[in-house]
Amino acid sequence: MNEDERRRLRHDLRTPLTIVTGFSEVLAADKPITDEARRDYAARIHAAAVELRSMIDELLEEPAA
Amino acid sequence: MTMRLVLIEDHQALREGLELLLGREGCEVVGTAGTAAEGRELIERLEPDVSLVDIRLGEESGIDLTRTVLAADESRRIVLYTGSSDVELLISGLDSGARGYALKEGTPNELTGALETVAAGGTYVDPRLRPALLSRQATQRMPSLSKREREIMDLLSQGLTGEDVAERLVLSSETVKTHIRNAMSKLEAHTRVHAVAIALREGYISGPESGP
Repeated sequence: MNEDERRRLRHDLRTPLTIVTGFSEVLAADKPITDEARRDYAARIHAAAVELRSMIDELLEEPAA
Repeated sequence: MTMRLVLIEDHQALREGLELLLGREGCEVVGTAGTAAEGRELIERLEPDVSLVDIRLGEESGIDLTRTVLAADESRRIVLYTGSSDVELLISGLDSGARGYALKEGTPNELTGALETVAAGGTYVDPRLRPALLSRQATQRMPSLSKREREIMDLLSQGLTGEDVAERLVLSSETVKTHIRNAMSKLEAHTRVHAVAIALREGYISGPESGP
């Protein structure tokens, strides 16, 4: 993997991670939120985590250069 | 006054998530786009207080988009947003004329702070990038900044505008502008935020004490 590909990978991995950290921070905060919002945020975190897992699986399957 | 924001991010889930999260933080997201062409159209039509632009827009570049919209009107305020902490990319981003550079690993609250700083006329570089900037080897010797120029660069790095700096140091706006212009010339910087980044990198200033 060359430097440009590594740079792209770092960017691509952190994009769904931003969803996980952003919404989990809101869920963990003291501010009250509605049940509907809580379910919505949890679904967004779950979808981002599934995307991350898929990216990591793909990366681990890639043969070493 | 609520900050009017345009959001340009190619990852749909993050784009929608940011719209929600930044809305909760009090921003008014007036438009969102997933491509450079749509983003350009939105910025030109809506003239937001600030635009958040992802550096990678699929195969397109948020840095190129920034150059294009600033070539038409350099007063536009752009914060580049990226998952990469690569310092060369940062320098390239600041060369484009963007006034802010935020990392995706920052919290929504930090991102809102960055957007507010830039919308108010200030500059912002994510504090996580400071060690990388400081450790980067200088490729050439820079002429020294005067004490006053360093002082002004330091205040700009804290997000103050030129007018704020003038008030803080009890100087006229014109005097501050002259010092900034001289510092930019010595540092061979194209913009104020670029000058701040170089001043941090070269160790002329230490930057704000916030950050992890």
